[in-house]
Amino acid sequence: MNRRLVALLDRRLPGPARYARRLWRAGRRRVRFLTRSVRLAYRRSLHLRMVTITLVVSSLLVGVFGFLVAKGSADSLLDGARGQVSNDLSDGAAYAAQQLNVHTRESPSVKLTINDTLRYLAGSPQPGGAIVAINSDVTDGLVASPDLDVAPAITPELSHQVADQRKVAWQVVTRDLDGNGPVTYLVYGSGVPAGWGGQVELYYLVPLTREATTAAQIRTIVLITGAALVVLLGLLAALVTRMVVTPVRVAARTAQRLSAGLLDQRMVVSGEDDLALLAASFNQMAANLQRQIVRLEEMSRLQRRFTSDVSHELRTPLTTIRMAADLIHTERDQYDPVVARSAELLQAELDRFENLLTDLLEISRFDAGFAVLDAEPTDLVPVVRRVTERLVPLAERAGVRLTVHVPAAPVIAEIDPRRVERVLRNLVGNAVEHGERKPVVVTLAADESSAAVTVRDHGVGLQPGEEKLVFNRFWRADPSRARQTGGTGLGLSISVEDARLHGGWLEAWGAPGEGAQFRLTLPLRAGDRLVSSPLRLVPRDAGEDLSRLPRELPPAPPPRPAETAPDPGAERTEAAP
Amino acid sequence: MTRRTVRATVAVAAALLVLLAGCGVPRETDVKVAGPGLSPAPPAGADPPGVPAQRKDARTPTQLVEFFLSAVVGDPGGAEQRTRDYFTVGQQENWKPGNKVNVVRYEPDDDLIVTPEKLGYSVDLNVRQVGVLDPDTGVIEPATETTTVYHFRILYGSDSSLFLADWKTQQHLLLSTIALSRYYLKRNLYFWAGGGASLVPDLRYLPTSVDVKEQPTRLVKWLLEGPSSWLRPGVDEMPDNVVLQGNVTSPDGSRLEVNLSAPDIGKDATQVDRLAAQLRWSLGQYTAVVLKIDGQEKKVGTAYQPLVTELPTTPDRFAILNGVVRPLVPPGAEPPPSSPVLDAEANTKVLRAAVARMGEDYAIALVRRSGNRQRLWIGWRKLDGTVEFRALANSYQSIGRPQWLPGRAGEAGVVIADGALYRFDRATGDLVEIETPGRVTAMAVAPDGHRIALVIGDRLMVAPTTGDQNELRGIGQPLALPTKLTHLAGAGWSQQNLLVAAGQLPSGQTGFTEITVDGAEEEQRGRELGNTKITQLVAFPDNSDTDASWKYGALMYESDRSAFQVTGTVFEPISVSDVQPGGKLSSAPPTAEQTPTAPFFLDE
Repeated sequence: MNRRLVALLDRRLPGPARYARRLWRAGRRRVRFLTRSVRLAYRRSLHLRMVTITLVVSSLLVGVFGFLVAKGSADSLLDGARGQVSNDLSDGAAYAAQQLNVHTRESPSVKLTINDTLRYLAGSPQPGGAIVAINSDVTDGLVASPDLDVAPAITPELSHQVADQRKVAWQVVTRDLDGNGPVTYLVYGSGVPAGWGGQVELYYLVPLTREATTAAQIRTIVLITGAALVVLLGLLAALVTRMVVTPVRVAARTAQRLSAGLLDQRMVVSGEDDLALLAASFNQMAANLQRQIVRLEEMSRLQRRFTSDVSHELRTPLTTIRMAADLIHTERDQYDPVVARSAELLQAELDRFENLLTDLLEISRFDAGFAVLDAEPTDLVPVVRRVTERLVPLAERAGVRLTVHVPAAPVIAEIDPRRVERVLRNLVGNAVEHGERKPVVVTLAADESSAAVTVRDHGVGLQPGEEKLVFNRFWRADPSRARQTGGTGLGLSISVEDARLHGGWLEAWGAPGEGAQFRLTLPLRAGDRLVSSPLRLVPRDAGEDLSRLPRELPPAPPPRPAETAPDPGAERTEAAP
Repeated sequence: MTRRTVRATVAVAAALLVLLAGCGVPRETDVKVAGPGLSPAPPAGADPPGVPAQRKDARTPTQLVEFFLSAVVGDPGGAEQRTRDYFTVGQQENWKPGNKVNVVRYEPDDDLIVTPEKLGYSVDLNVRQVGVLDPDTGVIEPATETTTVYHFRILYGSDSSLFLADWKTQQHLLLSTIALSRYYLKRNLYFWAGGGASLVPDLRYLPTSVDVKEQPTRLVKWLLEGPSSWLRPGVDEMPDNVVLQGNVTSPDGSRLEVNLSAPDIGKDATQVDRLAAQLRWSLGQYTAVVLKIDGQEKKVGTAYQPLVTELPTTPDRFAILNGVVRPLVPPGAEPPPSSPVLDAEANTKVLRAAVARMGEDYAIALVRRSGNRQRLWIGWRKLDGTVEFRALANSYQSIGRPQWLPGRAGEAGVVIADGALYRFDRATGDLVEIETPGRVTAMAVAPDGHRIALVIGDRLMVAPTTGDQNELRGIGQPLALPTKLTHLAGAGWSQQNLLVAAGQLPSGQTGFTEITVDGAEEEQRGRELGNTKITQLVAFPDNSDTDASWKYGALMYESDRSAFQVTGTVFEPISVSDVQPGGKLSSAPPTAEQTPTAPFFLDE
């Protein structure tokens, strides 16, 4: 409906229509703004919504019935008055016709007859009572009893119907005829045949004050009763819905608390109805959940304790074995080569075993939730350099050229340097190991809220889908690969936990044959939520075949000054091939 | 609930509440037609009432005078203006006539003398002031003006029409008797007299300018205002506080509806019946009258009638033959079986007599010679033939013809004795004198029994009779009628409001005239009778309202010791053969000298 109307207005009155539309929009906005809190409350509270709906519907119904009652009563009052007046008028007109029939010519006695008739019909006039008026050409206009000027009350239309069309007609008008304020009159008129062929009309003006008062009283009573009814219905709805909404709210709150961790929250079960059923079921669910969670927690706790106990227990004999192995290793020249070889193997494996154990411990700490972040503002630049320098010998041995790009300015972040070093060590070590004698690039960059380090290698790369798996425990892409650094298979898992502990991200990208890139993103301020990373996860020189790019990668952030070409001011360490 | 539904519901609810707030008896509505109204009455094809000619239509001075003397005819409010119209401009100032109209009688041929002059005419108009018409009551009262000659001039106006000038200071309106008879209707209003014993007519003049449909309203209004001042002493008072509501209407065209407001009468049935009878007879020519008092319909019967309407059309007649009262029988007619032949001893030496019927009996009053004086004998004759007579105490020089009072016929009557009027009662035998303003020579009691015509000196007078309980004790102020007769010999009532008088006409010969009871109209009846002297006159009243020629023998008179009767305009003597023969006196052969004398009618 609105659209058509608007279109029509647009066509006919473009200027005003536009202005009106602007006004309408502005007004709507204002209203929306003012009622925001109300609408919010309406959306949030089931109680309020039900009460409002009840009020609206009941006021609609009350409005309909009240309107019918008031209108019906007013109409019947008016009809009653009309019927009475109509009878009086027809009697009066018949009498007047008889009286005037006596005259066949216009003569002074006609005026006397008209005045006598008027007096007879009016009876004894009372103030505020009916007025009888006669209009004729003999009396020069309207004469009335009581003697008031009734000309304003008889409209030209009524006069036309009565006098010219010779009909009995009526009309309701409101006029002030006697100077005591406007009064609503029911004006009934009829033509009277005059014996001399002249025009005579008879009018009865009956004040409707009594009917109007009665109608107003009825209307007031209906309004008051209707309003009271609506309010009472609203109250009733409020009361009734409260009975339903309160338990629901209690259930919601209990569920909230339950989900927050307070597993022994239960609802009060009262009665045997649906709400009691809901409460009982909720309680049962909560009890089951609690039992399950407690059991799982217990199991996990046991498992952790077991891991930590085992690691710890294993340490003691390991130290002893190690001492012994070290001894043998230092004396290996004294033995024959087979035994010497065995001693070397022994030591290497013991080293591996120790690393594994350490990693297991570390992991078990993470699992138990005992990992503690020792964050302090640290400059990341020397950290990155330190890590790469330590790994340069390994890179030389693997034939991998290691390149580091760091910004000139210090990158201060609240981090735990031990953990970050460990992560970077792991990433760079993996890259070198899997680099296939191709160069490895380590880049550090930062923006105002986060810092990122990427480690890029051009080795075997990852199959699509392996970017997530790579962080699982003990996962190897290709188990047959030689382990030059003696990885435990937990390195990336631990790195991910370390990154998570900082509130940062550790992500991987890889493509078969093109290598892989790992990106560590850390917030500069501990506790901040990361929303973006200063470096791209997918390197710019990723494969030309764009279809292999997974779709869910976010669009590349705008290039940062520190990221692109190697900064001429940046230091570089290159590994000589 | 979707948002849209919510919005719609709220909008509708709000709209309804607004409507509810405005609901109620509306302050203004449009015009609504409830039905067809009363159809307009077809214009009544009423005959335009007789309207006198206008001044500008007068071609001759005679016509001008005739039109001028009918100028007042029409709406009374405009009478002055219409009369003024006849005057020249200078004449119109300072002329302030009253409401009343002087009725004048003049003979257009004899009394109007027109003398041509340089600029017009000089006119002398001899009139007889007949009375004063009050347009508000329709009564013609006795004349107060004494002017007998009007002098004035007639001039030609600028448009060659005639104007009156030099009217001098005649500050009254004039109406001629010619215009009166042409443009006015005579109507009788009836009033009760004698405590409800009989209805007495009161003559009123209703102008023909009044609508036929309006005339009953006018008559009822006059009736409710009471009798004319002359008649008032003799009739009962009208009840107080009786007012006519609206007009007298004829809702179905055949009956008249009279709506009175009479709060004092209310339940008094007698008063209501009397009012009803008055209305019925005053509005006489209509077939039915419906009386409503304060909206309640009362039955109007015809129980009460004026006495005159109960009179037979052919009355019994008597005459004295040789001193014996004998009934008269028209030749060829059977003698009426009930006519009494007086075989009493008292029926001798009778000079004059009066007979009345009382049921089956007859009451008789005889004037008998007693030596050289006369004595009145009263008696009655019963059905079985017994006759009883007694003489009243006194004897007189001369006693006139007695007359039993109508309505109390047989119980009381009046007689003139030695110039005085007396009432006699049969029961008591008393003779009570009634005061009169002079010596009475002739008298006649009206058929209603409450008015009496007297010839006193040479004047004809009428007076109402007064006295309570229907006892005649006196008479009211008599009204002298301006008759043109002189040497009046006798009077009688030929109709309710019409007297017949006998005397000397202006021509010198003896004749009769009929004159209305207020003297306004007088007309000669019958031929002149030369030089005969009339000694007695009796008339039997016609009970119709309208002019009627005299029925057979309605007038009888005695002149030169012979009885005559008049039928229409035929005067013939009553011969012996008209006298009923029979009885023990019939044996006496009539002598040449024997002619019936002193004829009279049976008094009812």
